[in-house]
Amino acid sequence: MIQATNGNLASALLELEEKDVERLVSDELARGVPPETILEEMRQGMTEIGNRFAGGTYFLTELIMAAEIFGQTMKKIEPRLTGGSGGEAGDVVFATVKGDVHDIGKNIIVAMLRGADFRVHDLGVDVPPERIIEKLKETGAGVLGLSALLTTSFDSMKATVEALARAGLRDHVKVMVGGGPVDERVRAYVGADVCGRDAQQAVNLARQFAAVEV
Amino acid sequence: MPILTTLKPAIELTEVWKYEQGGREPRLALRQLAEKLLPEAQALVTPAVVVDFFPVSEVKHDRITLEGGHRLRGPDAARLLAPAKEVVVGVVTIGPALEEQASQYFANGQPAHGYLLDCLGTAAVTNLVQQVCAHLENLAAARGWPLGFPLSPGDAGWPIAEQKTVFALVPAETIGVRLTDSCAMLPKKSISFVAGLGPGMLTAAEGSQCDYCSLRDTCRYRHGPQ
Repeated sequence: MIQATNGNLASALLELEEKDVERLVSDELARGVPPETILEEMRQGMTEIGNRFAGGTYFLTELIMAAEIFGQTMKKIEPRLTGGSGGEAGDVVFATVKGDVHDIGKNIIVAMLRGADFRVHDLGVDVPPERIIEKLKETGAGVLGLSALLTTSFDSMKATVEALARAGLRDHVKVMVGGGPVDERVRAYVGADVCGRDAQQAVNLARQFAAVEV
Repeated sequence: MPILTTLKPAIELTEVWKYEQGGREPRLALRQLAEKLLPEAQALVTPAVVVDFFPVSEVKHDRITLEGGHRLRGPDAARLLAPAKEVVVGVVTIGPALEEQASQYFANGQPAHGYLLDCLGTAAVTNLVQQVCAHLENLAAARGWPLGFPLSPGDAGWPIAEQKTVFALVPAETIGVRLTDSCAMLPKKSISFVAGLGPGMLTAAEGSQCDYCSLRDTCRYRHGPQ
């Protein structure tokens, strides 16, 4: 007999209780709860955490910790999923642009996107436009995330977006930019589609883009 | 040209929670993780500092010229350093090991470990600069001068390209710090600074570079997360 979840899993995730989450997942799997059902409850917990972050009651460290617990739990659930094991939300290519070596912001967004079931191709730091173009062509990703922390990196972002156009990809790829000094003026200067203000917004933007057929 | 390696930066979790949690007490799970990572952070930190002093030979509205001919350019920096008889130039680092381990945690699917370890590294290098400046304040006081608050290229209107001047003045490579072509420092947990010594200098108790920054009203490092 297939059991339903008892609703405690999302609560444990909300409280960042990693051990409780592990125990509850094991219990539910043992009771025969479908892994897809468990995964959905975990996603509900993540959605609520995202809402609380947007509302200012949870901060970035909580968001990231939830993403870590979610990711670690996924490793247990993924082998049991019947309909695909991740990346169902779509492909995203992500990079810190050429000339910039900062990676913490990028790493956070990548972790959050993976938690939201995106397949993220993280190219690392100091990435030239041609490598980004190559990965976009290889993966068919419809979303590109560019990160920078140095103001001197804006021209690299601009060069990357221009390279997208020359490669004939601009109409097929949505570009989101982010990082400490990156704001709406920078977005307009570099020719990107959106500027992500924080980790949760980046995930929301990627979901919006993935929902639009280009 | 002293190279200081005896300083041991203190890593205060209260500093981390101040800018990560707005001073609010963190959830137990976060506090426990940070406490678990603290000994690891302390073991990964390898502090090193290089400083040197340069008499000022000329002050103009947009530059300070030092004896030997090097110029610190930028109207804001020139204005803040104008009262200086000497400047002290320094580079500090906690080494590459902590940030490498933080990156490894991210790569292993442990972003919270990576992020908190990185936060501890930021607290460490910030404290290291504070300790160095306290030491320099004592040296300046022995000469009868206040030490001005430190300025860093890339902050508050001072072009990051001036890092090249800083790196020409002190041998940062001897403590393992180098500049990329875009003037970022590697290891990333490194800070460069210039401070003035002389009558009329605004001290760290009287001001900071933050006062001249366009983000002073919204910066999370001053106000916590918004």
